[in-house]
Formats: sequence, C-alpha cells, structure tokens
Amino acid sequence: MRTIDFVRGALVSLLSVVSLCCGGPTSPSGDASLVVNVVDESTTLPIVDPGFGITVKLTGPATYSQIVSGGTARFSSMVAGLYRLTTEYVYGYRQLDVISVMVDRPQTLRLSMLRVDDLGVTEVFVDGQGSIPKGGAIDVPAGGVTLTFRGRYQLVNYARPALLGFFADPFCDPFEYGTAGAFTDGPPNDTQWERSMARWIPCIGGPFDLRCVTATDSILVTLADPRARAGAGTVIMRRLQPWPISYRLAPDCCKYPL
Amino acid sequence: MKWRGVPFLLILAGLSAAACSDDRPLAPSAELFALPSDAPADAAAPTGATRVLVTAIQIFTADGRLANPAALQGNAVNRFRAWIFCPRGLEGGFDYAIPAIGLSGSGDRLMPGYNSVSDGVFIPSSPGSYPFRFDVIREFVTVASKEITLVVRP
Repeated sequence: MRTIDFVRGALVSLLSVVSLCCGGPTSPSGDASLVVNVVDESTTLPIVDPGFGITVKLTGPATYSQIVSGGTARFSSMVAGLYRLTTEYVYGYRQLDVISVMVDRPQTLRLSMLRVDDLGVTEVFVDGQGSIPKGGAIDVPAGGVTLTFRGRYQLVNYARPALLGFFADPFCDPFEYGTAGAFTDGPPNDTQWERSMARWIPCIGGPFDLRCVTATDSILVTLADPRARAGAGTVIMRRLQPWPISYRLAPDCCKYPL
Repeated sequence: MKWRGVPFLLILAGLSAAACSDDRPLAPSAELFALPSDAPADAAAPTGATRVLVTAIQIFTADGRLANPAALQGNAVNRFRAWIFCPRGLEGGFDYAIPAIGLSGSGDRLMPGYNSVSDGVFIPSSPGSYPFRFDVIREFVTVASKEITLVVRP
C-alpha cells in the first residue's frame, strides 16, 4: 500500500517537473537554454564540416555566440526572453529566415541553411610577419608588403569552368593603389585558393590623392569566371568578409609610386 | 486494483518527457500584412513565413488584361508581375532575374509585406510550353524563386 502510494506520488512529481521543464507562460526562467541544430536545407543533414565556420548568434536580453560544432550550437544558462537568431560564417552557407525565438525553458530548434557558391578567407599572411589574425596588425614598410590571402571555396550551382579567378582585398574602393602591384594566384584545387600581392600598401586613390588608412574592417572577396560571356567574365560571388586589420605605417611608407 | 492509475501516469510522464525533447516551433516575428487589393489571392504568403518568397506571377496582355498563362497568344509583348513577400527584418535591396528570357535588373527595395516587380515579356510565336522562373537575388545568392509554365496556344 505504501509502495503504491510512493510510486504514484513519484510519478505525479515527475509529471510536475516535466511540465515545468516544458514550460508554459508562467514557467520559471532559471533553466532557459537552447540547442540549435544546423542542417543543410537541401539534404537536411547536419552541417558538421568545421571549415564552413558557422557561428550562431543570439541577440536579446543578453547576447550569446557559439561556433557550430558537430552540427550543433548549444546555449545554456540563458537569460530568458525573446532572441533574434543570426549566423556568421567563413563561407558556404546562408541563413534565409528571419528568426525570433522565445527562450524560457530548455528547447531545441532546427536551423536550415542554404548551401551556395561561395569563397572565404581562412588566413591572411604577410611575408616576414606571419599570419595576421582578425584584429591583428600589419607593419607596412616603405616598399609595402607581400600580402597573401588563403581560403576555401565551393561551387554547388555554377558549372565549374576551366579557369577560376580569386580576388581578395581589404578595401572595397575601386580606385585604390594598393592592389595595383604584381599578384600571383595559387593554383586552385577543389576546395582551396590563394592569392598574393607584392608591394602592397593600404592606400586608396591615385598619384595626386593617395590616401592611406590605418585600419580596415573587412576583406572584399570575389570569385569569378574570367572567360564567361565570351571573355568578358562574370562574378560568381562577391562579398565583404569581416576581418579587422590595423596598419602600422613606416614614416616613409606609402608614397607614390612605390 | 490499487495500481490501476499507475500505468496511465507512466505513459503520461513518458509522453511529456518526449515532448520536451522535440524541436519546438520557432516564434517568428510574424506580422499580418494586408494583401494589396490588386494582388491575386494566391499571392498571400503562408502564415508564419520567415523568409522572402515569390508568391505569385501574373501575366498581362499588352492592353492590361489579365492573361491565362496556360493559353497565351504567341508573338506578343505581354507584361509580367511577380509578387514578393518580405517578412519584417529582411527588407532591403535586391536584384531579380528571369533566366529564360535573359532579363535581370535591380529592384528598388523590398519593404516588409508585399512587393511587386513588373516588366515586359515577349511571348514566342511557336506554340509550346516555356518555363518562366523569377529569381530574387541578394549578394549573388538566389534567396527566393518561383517558376510557372507559359503555354503558347497553336
């Protein structure tokens, strides 16, 4: 008799706990957490390749950011409330949906992302100075630097042409001087690309209005099919990739011409 | 006899626990936007739409009458009108393309709610079926698309 009452009581308690976990409008918010399962929209499979560099951001009563690992981003001990979910990435996927989610209990949601023709920078390298991380600095001597971008790319819709063009540049101003120097492209393989610019300086403008900058926020990356449209070429993808860099200019740096 | 209610509670507890682990529906910043009076009924976006959608494509004759895409007169310059739904939060500039006829352009700006793009379309003289796909493009990515079939009658 006591055993039966105990079991029944335990189950009622369990139901109460489960109901609280699942939550209603009056649920306590101390256990607010969110698991975001990130999947490929066309295959519905989890996006597990860390090379895509997908980060899930939640903005609301507080701000959270998690790199997707194994197809999942986990947020725990959150401040309960309504959050806007956005994503950042190195390359390869786009979030199409505008998503707001009320987080007031443990819950899970699935985020579908569209796989796209794309490229992204994974390393900024300067000869003699090594890799330049996001937020890093480049010392720029009088003769400029040899600046190399390395990254990954994919073609999922555009038919792969015989020749691909890769461009990367910390500016988006078309009249900059810094990229006018010689450049070399690494031979692209199926997933990686490289581009180097010799005697590069962080300047825009021409001989009479050369303007040098001490910081940039993003890298303008372009993937092109240079032989398309009877040789006129076409851009497959162009976008700004956040990558802040500051420049320490030598006193005699950045005079025209190099 | 005294154990009678226990299986029921066990099942209920199990179901409740399972419900906790399911994907929960999103809470999109859903707003109700009135469908413009000149839009067709099928231009209405589904409830809770969270992305840009091309909801309907209309074809008009040169004199402005609504045409049936499945029975078009060939060798004519008609007009199309594509209806685009944009949820709040995704407003902004866009490009569009109609690959079948090589037409592309830049739209002004998608506003929250219903938007439309209209332009001319030449209807071929040869009877047959022609795909007509309207793409909304942002930063080189096709974010929404809809295809209808234009049928030129003999």
